Amino acid sequence: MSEVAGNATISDADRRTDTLPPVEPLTGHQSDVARVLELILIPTVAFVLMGSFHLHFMLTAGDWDFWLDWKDREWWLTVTPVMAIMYCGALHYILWEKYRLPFGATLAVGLLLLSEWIVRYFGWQMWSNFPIHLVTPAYFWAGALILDATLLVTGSFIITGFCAGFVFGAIFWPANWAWLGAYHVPVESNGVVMTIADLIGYEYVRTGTPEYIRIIERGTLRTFGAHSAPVSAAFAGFLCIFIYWFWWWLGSLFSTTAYYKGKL
Amino acid sequence: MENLMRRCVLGGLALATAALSLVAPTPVDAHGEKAQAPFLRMRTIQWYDVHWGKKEFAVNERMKLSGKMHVMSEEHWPQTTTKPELSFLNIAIPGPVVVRKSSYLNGVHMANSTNLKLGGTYDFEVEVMGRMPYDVHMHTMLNIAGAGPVIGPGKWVKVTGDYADFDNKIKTLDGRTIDIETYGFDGVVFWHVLWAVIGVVWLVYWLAKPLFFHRWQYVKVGRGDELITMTDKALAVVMVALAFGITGYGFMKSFSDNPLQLPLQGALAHTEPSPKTDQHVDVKYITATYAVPGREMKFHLEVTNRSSSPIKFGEFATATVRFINPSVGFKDELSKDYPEDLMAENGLSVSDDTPIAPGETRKVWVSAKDAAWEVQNLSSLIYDPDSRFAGLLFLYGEDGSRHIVETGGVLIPDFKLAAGETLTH
Repeated sequence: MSEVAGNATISDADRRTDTLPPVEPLTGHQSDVARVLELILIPTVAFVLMGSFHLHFMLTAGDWDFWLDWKDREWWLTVTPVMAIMYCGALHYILWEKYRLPFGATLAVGLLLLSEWIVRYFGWQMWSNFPIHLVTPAYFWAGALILDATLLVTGSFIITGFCAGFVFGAIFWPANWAWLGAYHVPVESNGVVMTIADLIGYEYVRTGTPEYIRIIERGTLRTFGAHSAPVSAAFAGFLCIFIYWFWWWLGSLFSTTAYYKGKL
Repeated sequence: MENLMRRCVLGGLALATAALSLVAPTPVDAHGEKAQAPFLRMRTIQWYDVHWGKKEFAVNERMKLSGKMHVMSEEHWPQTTTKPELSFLNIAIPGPVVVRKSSYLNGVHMANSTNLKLGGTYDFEVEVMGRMPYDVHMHTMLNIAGAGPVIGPGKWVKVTGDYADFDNKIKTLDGRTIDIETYGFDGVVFWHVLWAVIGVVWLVYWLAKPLFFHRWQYVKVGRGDELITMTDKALAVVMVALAFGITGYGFMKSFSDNPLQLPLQGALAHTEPSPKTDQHVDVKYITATYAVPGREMKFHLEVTNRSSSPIKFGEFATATVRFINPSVGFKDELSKDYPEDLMAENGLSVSDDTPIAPGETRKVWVSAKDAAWEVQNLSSLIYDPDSRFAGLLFLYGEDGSRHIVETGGVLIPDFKLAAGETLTH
């Protein structure tokens, strides 16, 4: 039985001549035990990820992604993907560098969405009687799949961050507009023009959320007129590149094993 | 040892359960407004002539909450509180058990926030529609940016009927009639489920393979890239194509289904206060004291009657509590519907309660005394960062006139009061 090269450095020469140590696949009982441990580990890690990512996301992009009448053309589609790509970057490092698993981004956004729907359905609709469309979360599937696929094909976090990171930020708006656009149809209410999203936010009373607290449509991006959304989406993409790279590095920090040498 | 630990834990849990079961849960009262500091409630917004149009109304039936809202003048507005330059007319209810169909301040629709002026009085009106059967404690409320909510008087109203009958139809500017209670949710479900299925397929594809231990072995010896197969890469390309394709299709479809779309509307409404009218009464504040043991606020005032009719003190209103002079009594029908817990029906007395003649100037001690000071958590005003009070005085003329005047100033708390002893006039 060959020894697995523990902490030994694998030289380029070894790689070229395929003199890398062989791998003894797990068989029989070993394989079964490994699979059982994985089946225990996966839900546990999933719960921890769900909780921590949801908390992180709510504390940062929270209001913009929470309410229908906060999803504007500037703040929502810039802040939201920037905050979401953070966990994608970190998980990408951990799962790819350690296990060559490329599904970190999709896993992160999938778990986030699952936890958001649980809270919003049971907490906000069933408990607090809010209509579910007022509290529908946005999704990140398109960008996450592209992030995962790019990492898998290129094997490079630099290219993934540069290309797919940009796409993650930029594609967030058009991907969600499929369901959100319907709420931007205008109505006239008591002599004032509103969108259906504004009207739903106005009619379904939120005692602790006065109208002025909405951070929407503010800032000089409004000068782009009808093009505010594409400009904000491009800016979000630009930011996502660097956020992805930074959180890839954070993922490396938090998944490093250090050994203590000497006696305790 | 293990056995003992297990027994201790189980025993502890049993004790805790037993203890908790002895504590009967009390019904929740809708009085969170008492948590607000007294100065915030007394010296900012005074609500009066408040009228809850109906005590009981059905699902789909409308009800109006109306009245007047007086923004205290700069003399009384607390320095620690942001001025109401950005405010929103709201109502305090336990979630959207009713929907708000309209809200007005002096005839201007308040879908947006607005700028209010110190010293101004505004007629407010909020129309709600029943949405689900509920007992609702409904308050008037004003949210002030930087200061928070200033809650007005609250009263229990009942919504009857069945939520299944709720109907919230409106007409859009592109000519469609929709029910905004459920509008667009089919699209939400469709697109969320479609993307979730694709995402889950991608995840399950990887989760079905041997995962961590198997793959770690390969990565550890530098053979990690051997784990990536052509099938993996092909699927990745398919996922990218799907991501772009579905996004493009969904985006275009949104505009073809809804060609007329606007951005969210973030305007500021503009409203002017009601024109100021001469109240024909001048009230000059001299001093005030609050007797903590006796729950009595006394203020020394100099009153000049410039009207043509004799007048008497009828009411002192502050922080939604109304102290009524029983010798004057209720002067309007609205007062009969005012929440009882906010009404001190015999709470106001005057050192010289005889009518003040036209042209007369008189110094009086006015006393507002009632348990409401404590029940409404106003007696803690003596611990406020600015020891002052304010409120509205209502004086009534024999000709039926009503004169509303602000009053307020420095307040000296009196912690020592012997039995039977009263403050000297």
